Amino acid sequence: MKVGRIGVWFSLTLAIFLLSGWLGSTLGARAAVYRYRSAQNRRLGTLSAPEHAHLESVLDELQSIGFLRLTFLITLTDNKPLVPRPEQLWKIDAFRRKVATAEAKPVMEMNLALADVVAAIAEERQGNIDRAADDIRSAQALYRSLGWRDYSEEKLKALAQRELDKGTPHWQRSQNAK
Amino acid sequence: MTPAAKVTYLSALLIGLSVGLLLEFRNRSNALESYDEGRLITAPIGLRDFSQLQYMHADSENAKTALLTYASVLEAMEEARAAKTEKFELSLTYTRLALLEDQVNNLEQSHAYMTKARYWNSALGNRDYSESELKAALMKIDGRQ
Repeated sequence: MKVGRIGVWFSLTLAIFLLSGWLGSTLGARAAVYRYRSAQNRRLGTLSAPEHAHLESVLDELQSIGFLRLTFLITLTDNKPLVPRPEQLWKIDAFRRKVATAEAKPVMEMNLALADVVAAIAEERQGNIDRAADDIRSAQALYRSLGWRDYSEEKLKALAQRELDKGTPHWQRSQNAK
Repeated sequence: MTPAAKVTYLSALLIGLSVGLLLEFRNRSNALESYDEGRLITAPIGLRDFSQLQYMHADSENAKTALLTYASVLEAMEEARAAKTEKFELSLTYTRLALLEDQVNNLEQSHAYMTKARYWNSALGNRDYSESELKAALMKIDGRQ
């Protein structure tokens, strides 16, 4: 009987400990976010609150674009031959429609154009000439809208290859060339 | 409920709350700090690459827009925190803008951009380089890319 009561008492103590630990961690997370935001507001400098909020949105979008570009290049250089999956291109295009700030929009467009050229290179290697031509046309339209003076196929392919080489380790570059 | 049970439950509550709060506060603060530091370094890189590509390949109007956008983001970041990277990039960006103005013989605007370039270069703690020295240095940097 006494053992049973100790069991209940112990279980209840453990339950209270775990529940309050969970509550504490929720409060801790909120307190950390609050402290982070206060620190951000303290370093506003001469920026007004709306200017600061805009800067934060720009930096968030640029960070996401950078991450998207990096994962795209990494997954490409991990595979041989270099073939972007259609879902990767859709993902980039879908994200492009979400980008809201004027600063990040053209950056996103240039990245989409780069992805199109890479896709064209891959399609051409697989003998899908029509699809490659479509991809190049999409890329050329984007580069034209960005005001590029020369958006010839050769120029765009050379640029895309340079970008791919940047994300590829030296040893893998020589393997890909074979 | 016995007094001993009350004390035990209260202790469990207080210990649980403090342990959860302290651990999560520390973890989340570290994660947010790392995210923030990383973002301030990596986020402008995309805009830097974009503005450089526009400077090299786009018509002068689009190149100028991209460089001015990059400069305004950097200046806003500079307001929000003091780091040397922004000052250096601002000096390069304003020199590029000056070179674009030189191409269309807009010497007054070029000089205005170079004044900003020299200001940001001096803010780095460097000596006050002349306009031609900064332009020559930038052309060397761009030539290597």
